[in-house]
Amino acid sequence: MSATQIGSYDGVPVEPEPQVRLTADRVRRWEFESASFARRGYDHQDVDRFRMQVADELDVLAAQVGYLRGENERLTDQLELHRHGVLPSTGRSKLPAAKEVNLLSAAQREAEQIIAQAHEYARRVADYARVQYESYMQAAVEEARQEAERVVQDYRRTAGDTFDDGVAAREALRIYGEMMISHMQAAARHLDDGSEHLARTMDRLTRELPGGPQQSGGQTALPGQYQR
Amino acid sequence: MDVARLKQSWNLVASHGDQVPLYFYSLLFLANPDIRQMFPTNMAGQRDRLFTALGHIVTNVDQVDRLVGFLQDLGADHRKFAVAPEHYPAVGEALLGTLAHFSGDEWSEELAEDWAAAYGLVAQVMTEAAEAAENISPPWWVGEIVGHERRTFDVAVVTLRPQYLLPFTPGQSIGVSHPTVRSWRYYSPANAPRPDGTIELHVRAAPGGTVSSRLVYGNRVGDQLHLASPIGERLTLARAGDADLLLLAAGTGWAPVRSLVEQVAAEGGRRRVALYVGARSQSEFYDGETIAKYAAAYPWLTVTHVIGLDPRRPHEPVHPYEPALADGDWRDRHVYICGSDEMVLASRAALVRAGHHPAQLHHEGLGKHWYGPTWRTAGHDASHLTPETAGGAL
Repeated sequence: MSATQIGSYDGVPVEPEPQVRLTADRVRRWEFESASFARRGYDHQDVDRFRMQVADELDVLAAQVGYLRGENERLTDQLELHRHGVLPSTGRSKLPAAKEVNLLSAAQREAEQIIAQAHEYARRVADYARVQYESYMQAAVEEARQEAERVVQDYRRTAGDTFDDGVAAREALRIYGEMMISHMQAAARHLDDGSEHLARTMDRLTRELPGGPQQSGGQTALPGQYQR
Repeated sequence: MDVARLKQSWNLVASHGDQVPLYFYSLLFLANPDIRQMFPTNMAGQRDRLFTALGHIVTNVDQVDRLVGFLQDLGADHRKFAVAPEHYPAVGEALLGTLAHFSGDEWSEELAEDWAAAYGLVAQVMTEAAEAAENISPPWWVGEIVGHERRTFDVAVVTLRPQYLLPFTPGQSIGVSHPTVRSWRYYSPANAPRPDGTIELHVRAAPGGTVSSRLVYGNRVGDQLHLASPIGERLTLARAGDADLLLLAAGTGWAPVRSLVEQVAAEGGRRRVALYVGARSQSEFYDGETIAKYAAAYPWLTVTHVIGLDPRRPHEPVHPYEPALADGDWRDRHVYICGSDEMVLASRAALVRAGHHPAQLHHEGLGKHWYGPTWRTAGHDASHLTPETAGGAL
């Protein structure tokens, strides 16, 4: 398949991006540029709370507008029926009425809201874990460095005239290395526990998810006639 | 067909925003419940795309020659969603019902006919393109996972064997989907085409990403995935002529860059290549063995590892372009950049400031173009380090 860009056919310049309206979903996924340390910014938690409220409010409003439009359509039809004895929308009467359509839309919106919350939570957990990891690493490095310095000072005190830079450096490196290794081993044990726990959770999730591999029994999600 | 009337009608309807595609899909699914399962559960991104594509079609309805290419691509691509000719009338009916609903009193017989005629044309071009594409490539490839290695907590290296040859050029991206998630993500193979046809993907699990999390945590050897035709030309080597290269890669952005290195080797190593490969920390170099192997084997390749995390500036990662610019003058080389949107933008800006011409800088489109609402209408290109959204049918 060709990957020609739409705007570049026959050398026509690329069009500006079409204007896209704000939706609840876009509000939920909006990423604010974080202010640098030198600049004043808003509190992240405040922004997140506000964003969530705005998105929810947009959803509520959209549902109300949809409901009102459906009602309007129904009442207009009633009025026409009284006046002329026929439904004006008979041409499309085999399609579901606005009321039903809106009901499905509301369900879809709610599902998306739940999915968005789950995504947000996953992202926060991942961010939190990363920050934890980095501060743990920094603390480990700092502790190992201090320990190495202490060892060198001890050696300087006891060695007196026999003090040797090479020995001191070697000793410092050895202690530093040992400390880091023991930290890493402790971290690895923690991680093993965590990863086991996570694996159990993932297993449970795939089992419980509708359409998960265990329940779909190897079936694909495509309509039967399209399965290969 | 009255083009002015059609555009006016669309503008009226479009003023209702997201309500319109929401109504459209609900109507489509209520009238044809079987179609629902062709779409992902989360339809949010989907609606944006439908809306933008419709807008694009209506705005260009009087410039048929521009529209035809767009619709042909769309039709051929929709084969991967298992769209068949019989789906088109159902969509047309739901579209007209939606337009009527939002037009209110403005709706008329004539307008209905105009829209029906316009949609008929769109459907015809798309189905014909889909048919024509059948002779060139399958709607999707089934690929078996023959290798699956978790290299870090959230990165897996996945080797796939497509059921039959999936031709691609290094730097391009292929669509990947699992039948149960019904959404597609694009990944750039980490290898130049191999004699056995296998493809290696480097996948980082995005929090909440349905395809990527499944690839990293939920799949194993023997599982089958669906793969779609390669797209994206911006990272291909053809763009650089026979110039020497500077390659800047961060995270899983190493994947396409590695395929470029392999291609340079396959061409006989006639270019000098400087590689700056970045990762957050030492342990995040998930493909270190390969990098070391290439560094040792290829005299034309120099490799510099760049660790992103700097304790002295913990909130501002070190990007590979920084040591690269400190090391030398690369203005006579073509530069390929692959990493997160932020890394790409920062590198680009810095390189331009350092006197590089934009035409010698190559990178894929940003994630928001790739998966966002303006996908296709604004040109489509990949960056695969972006938050995952559903990449579904229109």
